Amino acid sequence: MSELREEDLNLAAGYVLDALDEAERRRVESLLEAGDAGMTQAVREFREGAALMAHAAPAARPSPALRARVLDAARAQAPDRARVVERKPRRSPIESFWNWGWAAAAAALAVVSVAQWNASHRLQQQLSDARKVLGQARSRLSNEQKWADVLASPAARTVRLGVTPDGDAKLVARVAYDPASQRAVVIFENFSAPSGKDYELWAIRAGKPAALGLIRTDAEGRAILELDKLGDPAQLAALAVSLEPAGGAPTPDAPTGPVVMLGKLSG
Amino acid sequence: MTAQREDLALLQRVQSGDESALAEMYDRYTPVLYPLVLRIVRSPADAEDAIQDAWMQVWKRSASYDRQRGTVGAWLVTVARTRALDRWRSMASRSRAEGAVDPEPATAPVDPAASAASGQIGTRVRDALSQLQPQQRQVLEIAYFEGLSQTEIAERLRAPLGTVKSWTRQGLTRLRELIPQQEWV
Repeated sequence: MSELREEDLNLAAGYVLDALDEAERRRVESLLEAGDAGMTQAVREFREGAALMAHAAPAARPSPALRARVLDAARAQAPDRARVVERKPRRSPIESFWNWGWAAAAAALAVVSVAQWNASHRLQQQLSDARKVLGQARSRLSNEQKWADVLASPAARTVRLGVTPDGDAKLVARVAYDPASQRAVVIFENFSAPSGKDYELWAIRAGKPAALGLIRTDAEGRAILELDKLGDPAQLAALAVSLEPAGGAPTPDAPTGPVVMLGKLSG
Repeated sequence: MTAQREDLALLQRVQSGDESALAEMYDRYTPVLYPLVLRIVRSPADAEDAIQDAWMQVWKRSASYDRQRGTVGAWLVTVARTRALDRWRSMASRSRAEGAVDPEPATAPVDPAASAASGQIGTRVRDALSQLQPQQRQVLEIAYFEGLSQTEIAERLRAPLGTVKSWTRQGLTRLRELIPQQEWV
């Protein structure tokens, strides 16, 4: 198993079961996108373990007609033409060091003393560790910067969503929206959904709602949502919050519960 | 050729629009995916719809497979499970909105032919699960087949969230240790 800290191994295990909260899931995905070798390995290993669970289900067979249905449906639609991802594994800094180290050691033994080689080894190890830390910090910084840019953009609009007659008067939601990057940061306060319910955020584009995600808060009812790719600013009229059954509205284009907050972004 | 290499070759043919490769993958994996999906959605009709959704996703979006994050087989299981959980949540949410109780688990009779086809691996995995600590097995089964988050599981079991996270990790690790690698999906 990977040499990650226990906390990160717990995250990887929860991630493969899709059982993490939003902030935790984002942390894992940012590490995966940054090519973090330890997290990638842990996710791969846990995913294989989780896939074994499929065999625990009682045996059953679909109707023979399903195969023809699937193949007929496939025949009617061409697959997307992007290439199957076959990236070479990214070596972790430690792994890279060891691969380099064997070749270097062979040459070094011929020309320098064991003591000198040991000193070099220690320095390379420290350098490798420092590069690893730097790489992770850059990745985190780059992600944070993206969202800080939304708040700092001269074109950014700040909007406070208004509580509707169906909403609790204590609800607070502030939006910083940058039409240029089509990103927004929304800060929620006092959002504690009743038992069996979840608050869900919606974009209203050309009069039609589109789900943006559930509002998962901390114990004090606070949450921050970072929204990417909000789409054409000319079409994005407003943001709204609805109170939905736990897990959110069944379809991503139709809130089922009451709209409790609303705020115009256009004009 | 290993199973993973064969699967990668098949997936590349699927990517190029080769329907016979999709048929081959269907025959290879549906015997694993269908019981899983039926266990989650609890109705054969909905299970077949979810399986069709899953294979359409594979057909249309095979480019989203990243082999650094697991084998093709594990990815297919993830796709099918996700489609099934989406369908189950939607059904459960709709039935709650209509004031109905959640549907009961299916009690379909065991299919002897399918049981024989699933071979020893089903028995081995169930045996392995029975060797986990009860709490480890419980959190894995709730998370995997019911799709609850760890926060929701902690609430249901009245256990600290950190403990639920540890049980999840320990359970998955132990399960992997108990099943020989050549028998994995």
